[in-house]
Amino acid sequence: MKIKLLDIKGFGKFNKLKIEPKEGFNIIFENNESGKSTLQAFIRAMLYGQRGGRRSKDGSLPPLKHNKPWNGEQYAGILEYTLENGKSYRVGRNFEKGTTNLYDEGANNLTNSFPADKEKGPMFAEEHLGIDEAAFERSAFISQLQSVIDEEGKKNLINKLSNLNTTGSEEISLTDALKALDSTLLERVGTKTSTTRPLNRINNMLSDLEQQKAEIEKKNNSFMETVLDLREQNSILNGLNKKLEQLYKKKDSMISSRLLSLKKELDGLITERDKIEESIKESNRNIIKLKNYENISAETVSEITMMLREQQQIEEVLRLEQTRLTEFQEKCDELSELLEPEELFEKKVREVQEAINIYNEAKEQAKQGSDNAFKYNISTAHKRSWMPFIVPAGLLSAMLMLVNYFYSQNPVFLGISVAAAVMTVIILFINNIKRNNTGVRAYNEADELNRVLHKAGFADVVEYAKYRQEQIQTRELYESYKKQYFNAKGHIDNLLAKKDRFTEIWDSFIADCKADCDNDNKEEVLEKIKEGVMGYIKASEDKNKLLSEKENLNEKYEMVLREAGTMAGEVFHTIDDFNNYVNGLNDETDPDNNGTTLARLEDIIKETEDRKKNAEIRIAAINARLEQAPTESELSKVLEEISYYTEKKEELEMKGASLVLASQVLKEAALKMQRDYIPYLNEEMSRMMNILSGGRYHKITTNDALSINLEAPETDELIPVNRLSAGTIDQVYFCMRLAAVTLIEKDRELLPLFLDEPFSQYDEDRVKNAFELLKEVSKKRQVFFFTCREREYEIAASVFEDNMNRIRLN
Amino acid sequence: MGIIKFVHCADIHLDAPFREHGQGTYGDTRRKDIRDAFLNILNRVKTENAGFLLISGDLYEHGSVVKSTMEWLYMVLSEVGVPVVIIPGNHDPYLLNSWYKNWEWPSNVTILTPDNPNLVLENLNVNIYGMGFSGFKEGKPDLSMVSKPKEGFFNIFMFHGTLDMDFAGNDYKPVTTMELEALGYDYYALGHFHNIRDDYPLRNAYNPGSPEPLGFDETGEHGAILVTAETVQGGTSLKVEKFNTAVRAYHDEDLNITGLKTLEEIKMRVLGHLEGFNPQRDIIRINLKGLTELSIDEDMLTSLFAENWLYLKIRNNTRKAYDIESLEKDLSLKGAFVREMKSRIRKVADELENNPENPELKREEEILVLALSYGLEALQNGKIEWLSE
Repeated sequence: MKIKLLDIKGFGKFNKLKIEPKEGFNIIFENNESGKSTLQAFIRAMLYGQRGGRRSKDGSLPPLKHNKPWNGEQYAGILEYTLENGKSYRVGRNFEKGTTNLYDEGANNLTNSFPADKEKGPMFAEEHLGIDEAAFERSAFISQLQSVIDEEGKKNLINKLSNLNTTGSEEISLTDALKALDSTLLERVGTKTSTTRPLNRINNMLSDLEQQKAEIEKKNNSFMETVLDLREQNSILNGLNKKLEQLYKKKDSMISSRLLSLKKELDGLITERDKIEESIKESNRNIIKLKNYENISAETVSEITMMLREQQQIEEVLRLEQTRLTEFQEKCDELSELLEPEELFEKKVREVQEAINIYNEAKEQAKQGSDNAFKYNISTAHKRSWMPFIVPAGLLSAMLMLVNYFYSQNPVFLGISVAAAVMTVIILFINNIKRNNTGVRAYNEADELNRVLHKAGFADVVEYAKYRQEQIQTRELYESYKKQYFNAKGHIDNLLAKKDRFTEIWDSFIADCKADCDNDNKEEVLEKIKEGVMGYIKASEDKNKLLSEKENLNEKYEMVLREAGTMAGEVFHTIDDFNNYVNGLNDETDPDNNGTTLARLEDIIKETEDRKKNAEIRIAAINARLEQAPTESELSKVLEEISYYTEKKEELEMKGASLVLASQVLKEAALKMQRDYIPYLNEEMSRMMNILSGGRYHKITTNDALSINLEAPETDELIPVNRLSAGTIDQVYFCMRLAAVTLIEKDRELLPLFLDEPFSQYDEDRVKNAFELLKEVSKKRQVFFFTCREREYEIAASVFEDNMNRIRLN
Repeated sequence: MGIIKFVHCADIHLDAPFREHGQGTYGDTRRKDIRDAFLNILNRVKTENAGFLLISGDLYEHGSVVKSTMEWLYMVLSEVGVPVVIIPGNHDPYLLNSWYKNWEWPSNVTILTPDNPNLVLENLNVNIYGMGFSGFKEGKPDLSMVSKPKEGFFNIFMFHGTLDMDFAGNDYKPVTTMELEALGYDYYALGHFHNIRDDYPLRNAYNPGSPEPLGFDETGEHGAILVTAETVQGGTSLKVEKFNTAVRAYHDEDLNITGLKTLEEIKMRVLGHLEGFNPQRDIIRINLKGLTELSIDEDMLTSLFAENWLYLKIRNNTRKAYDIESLEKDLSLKGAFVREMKSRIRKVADELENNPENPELKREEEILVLALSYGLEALQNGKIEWLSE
């Protein structure tokens, strides 16, 4: 493309300016603020139109407003250009009216043959140049570079180079783009390795919700199991109710049977009671007949009987005792004749006995003297002693009295017996003492003794002893009979008194019996009374027995009635109540109950009722559990939450996947672009750099990491661009821009170049070399070089000589 | 036979969870809406003196239905006063632990199951055969086990499944018109699809849809069917009347905002679009579409309007206003990136043309379009504007 005419009717500071550029190198050498940028803007506006609208975010005006003519006149212009194919076009735009007209060299209006933008009009430039405005600006316009003096500038330049190298545009940074995608993915979405990013948070939330869901589902399942359990328990309860109904029916039936049976039993009891009552009446009649004997007991009769027998014995004993009394009287009389008077006997005995005692004392004292004399005296003494008679007689008397006591039971005999025995012993003892006291004096006293004996009328001691023995024995016998006489007499008195008492008792007894006493035979009378008493007792006993039986029957009756009441569940006060109840029973009785007793049936009922109660308790417990069942759909809410967060998650995952994909495609596209274009770019850059550096650098390469390296002429070493001087980097950048243009143009229209102070940082040699390069470039393409520097203008003039066209803006 | 009048409904989905996340107790409100819609059906049964009610599956959500709902259901079904015939659907299958199996249902309710698939209403001269679900998914049913129509009776075949749809991999009892027609029933009471279907080639087959719409894919009217069958010369005449029961209506609205320069303009456009809708009845989702340079925070925008609405959501589905055609020609990396992305998008779009319902392809296309936008934004700005998480 070659611009043939720039006819500015009004645009920014320009007013009616007409420029006719040459095909090759055109230089616009003007001072600052002379409109160099406006001219570039005019060319862009004529080709691509201008966007209007509001101010941009940074406050700058849109191009349509920004480039409005200062003098307020016509806002329009004309641009004529020729393409490589030789076709020429003329475009006229009225920016104020927003009209555009495109004509070909035959003055044909082609305006409508291009797609049109609402604001910018027909898009012919896109078609003729093959690139849009942005690409056109990015490639054809090489603006004034930043200062590369400081490190920041150098860095920016390297970035631009890098961007150009990787993206084909110095404004587009692959690194920044990838970084933006990656950081957005990490911070706004989250990755597998991150833990706190939105996706991680949502995943955690979903995990919690899934857990909640599982728990609720478990609870719901458990609830449903409870419902199942309830159903089962209800089924069990129904079964038990049915069974109970049958059992109750059976029980009622059995109770009816039992009640009927009890009724029969009661009827039997009543009949039996009636019979007993009849017997009781009979007994009463008998009792009344024998009423006289009501106060007489069998014991009394027995006692009276015994008394009569004893009375007979008393009569017998009385007869015997009377006989004995007479005998004793006679004996006593006989003995009293044999006895010496008492005072005489006692005097004789006292005197003799004193003499004997004295003799015995003397004999004892003379024991140690002559045995012969002693023996003599002894033998003499022995011959006069009564002792051999007295002792047996005393003992015999004692024994006799004792026998008499046993027979008569009279204590007097016992006393006499004891006294006789004691006396005998005493006599024996005294005798012994006397004999022992016989001493030396015995010889003297013997004579005295003999004298006393003679005086008393005794020949010797033996005679005395005999006399004394006889007197004592007779006296004792006499006393004995006398005692027996009094005993017998006392006995008779006692018997008579007893006999009298018996008579009194009998009389009283007869009086009590109110018996007929005409008969003197007491035995007969007593026998009759005895019969009466026994009859009365029997009648009373019979009555009592009947009353007892009646009582038993009554108790049994009450018991049966109570049992009936218990069975019927009512209280029967009378048999009529019971009969009425039984009469009201239905006929469903169960006489045949297969051997099951009511008690057994009640056990079964109790057991079934217990089971029913247990089932009811279980059902109540289940119902209580069911009452706790959630009334609101927790699961629905959790599912809704899950759904909400799943949607969010899917959205985030989709955004994440999009970010990853964008990053991946960007890298792939960059790689592809580099594979396709970098070799060509490097080749072009190398060729241009060779010219620009005066042959110093002739090879530029780009490695896989997309960093640019220059081959050092001294060492053939590859030096990364960032290690070069700022000026050299600037040169590399210029080469890359030019190479990029050629790359963009590939198979398209050659673009004019608009260079705005590109060599401001170059020294003179570099500027000269740069113009040498442009000289070569401008052989094929139109170049517009904008500068305010005299040095550039003069060097350009020296390089281009006559092939340079200076465009003036004034 | 005389005149037989009955109501046919399906897909009630009591206690269903709702995907859309509305304000506050939105889910509870919507579940109450389902109950109210069902009550509308029961009221219609009463006012029309219908002889019986058919529920062709999915009466409730097996996983999330609660006891209180079942108690409510017991109450309202027992009050309806006519026989209610139910078949289990794929959302309430006749499982071992299902409410159908374990719950005490009113005496006027009959659940037709594989063990008990038939009901004869002698007094009405109606014979009903039901084929529902015993699992959450079931393949092609064995129709040979269906008993023959009862002569002299009005024969109804209740069926929950898909009629005349793609058979490949269909887990919801796929059947064909021919197969059902061969059964020779007088009325096919279908269920499963939530939108009403009264245009089956099988002229006496009807799918009433859900009484209450359950999602944004269920726009339009929702209700049940009142059927009046009458014996006419040589056959049975069917009069089918649809009636609306829905408490609310879903609206999934696209709003193109291309050319709008400011957020204010967008707000005005949204406001204008909302006119005519009832905030308490209508459930609205506005999808902003088109190309824009504006940064739109959909949550912020939604919050501006949602206050009085039961549910209102504004979704930003706009794309950055890139001139893709121009960018395709760009010789820089930007162009190369756009070309590559466009190539991939075209490829997926071609595949989608052949398989338009394929969700994976749809998602892939969305990812590609978004990746293109992100990539361009990253290249142009060196950063990505992110308005919501």
